[in-house]
Amino acid sequence: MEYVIARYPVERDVFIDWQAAGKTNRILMVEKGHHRFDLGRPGDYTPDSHDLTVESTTELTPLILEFSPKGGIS
Amino acid sequence: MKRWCKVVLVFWGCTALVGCASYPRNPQLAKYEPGAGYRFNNLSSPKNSDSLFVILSFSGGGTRAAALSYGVMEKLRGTKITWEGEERRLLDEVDVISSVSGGSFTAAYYGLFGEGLFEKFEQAFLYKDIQGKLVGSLWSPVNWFRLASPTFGRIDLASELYDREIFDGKTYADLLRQGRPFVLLNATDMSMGAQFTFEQAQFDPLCSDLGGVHVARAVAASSNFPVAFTPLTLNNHAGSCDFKEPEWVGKGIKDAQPNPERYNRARIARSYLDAKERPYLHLLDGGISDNIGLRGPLVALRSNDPQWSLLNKIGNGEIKKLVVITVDAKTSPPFKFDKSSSPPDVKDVLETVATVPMQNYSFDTVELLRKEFEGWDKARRNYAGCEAILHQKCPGQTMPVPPLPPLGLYRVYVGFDQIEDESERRYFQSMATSFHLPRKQVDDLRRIARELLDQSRDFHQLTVDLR
Repeated sequence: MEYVIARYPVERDVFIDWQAAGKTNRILMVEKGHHRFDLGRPGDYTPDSHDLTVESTTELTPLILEFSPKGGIS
Repeated sequence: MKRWCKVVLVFWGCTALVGCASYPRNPQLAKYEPGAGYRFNNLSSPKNSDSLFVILSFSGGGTRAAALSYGVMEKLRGTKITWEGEERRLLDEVDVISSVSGGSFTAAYYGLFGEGLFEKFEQAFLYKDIQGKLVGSLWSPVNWFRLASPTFGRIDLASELYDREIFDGKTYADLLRQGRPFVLLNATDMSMGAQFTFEQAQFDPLCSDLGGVHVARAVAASSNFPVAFTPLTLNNHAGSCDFKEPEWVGKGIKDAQPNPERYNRARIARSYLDAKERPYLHLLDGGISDNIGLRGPLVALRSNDPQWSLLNKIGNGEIKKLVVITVDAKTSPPFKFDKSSSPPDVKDVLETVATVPMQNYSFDTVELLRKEFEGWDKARRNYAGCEAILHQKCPGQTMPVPPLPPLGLYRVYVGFDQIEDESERRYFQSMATSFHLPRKQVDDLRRIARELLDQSRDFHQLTVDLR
């Protein structure tokens, strides 16, 4: 099992390979391998998605994916 | 002249019978709709909470497996719980039943008829001589001609019998209307050697509408014991419905190195897209790829890919307690070969070759579930341990990452090897695999299922936690 946190200033849905898989800023359990992570609609954040291979994480050292609002934090 | 006419008429009639006899085609899907059809998310659940998520897996083993799983259903019906302030039966909280072969009769009947399981299933299946009726259908001269057709086999006769005698002609559209539980009837794709589950997500790449398929046909495929029956044929209409491959398939196909298991699932999923190479699929007994019905739930536990992924449901905060009850009707006959110096005969060798790998695989599957649950539990204990050390060494500091969501895990195994009394254990482990058992054996199987649940440590803990 792999562990991922999608960071964003506020709580939003997190989609893994287009399926709702949890919330931002919480730890998500993810199957090892290639995945696409995004925050769904509205697409007012950047980057649009993270496409990467998730491996070699632990519950104490999860992969951190950073998202930020387009135009910066107001 | 009259005699000549009769001969021609009989010949013409027989030819028509052979020509007309064919398996029922699984209907083509007019247009791919990822939100329609027999999927977990489309099943209504007015009385069933998502937060207590209960999965049952029913193994193969003919009427023995059907009766054992029926006994478990009876016990769940009689188990009162309190969840989220409401009193209900544990049976009402069952969300998914994944089954194989004999276990599929109980699973499908409950899915279609709900409480009717406890009113009619005993007479419709458990105490009925289905085996005799299957053999009887082979003695009908009309069926001799039908079976001469190259597109009509013994499995199609069996499917007709189940449809007529047990499942009242119901289709997957009827099953969808019944709501939860999500019933996953599992067969085996003969060419890929892979599990083939009767759910719309599996029929999407075939561009086929599962809603028009009779449930009896899925049960027949799931219990399609090799050689006794012919493989069950499905038509592959791939390429005719604007099907869009799920994102995970394209990702998984790159995972041969980091995750061969996911790569294999993606490779199998892609194989259905080539209707020129695979215009037909041939299905065998689900037991060949997984005789305990647990592989589908295991994938949902370990992967974000299935539409009903449990990882995603936990991530979304939908599940607070997860219960998996595995019902295994595996037998283990006594050491009959080892009482003689003569080598076992060909029949015994073939029987061993056919059953032992399946039993070993089932054992490994149950172990995988145990290890998965242990891994989840260990991850939570690791986090709590680190947090305790941090608070001790650096008071006031907080952990740099949040904890995993809290989750109660319960793993219950119902199998004959859990029976403590040796003579009773041998009695159950020596029962035949057949679609007809003596009434006393069926009654004993129902009783032992209830007793095994009573003596299960995890089941006891679950009922205590849900009071």
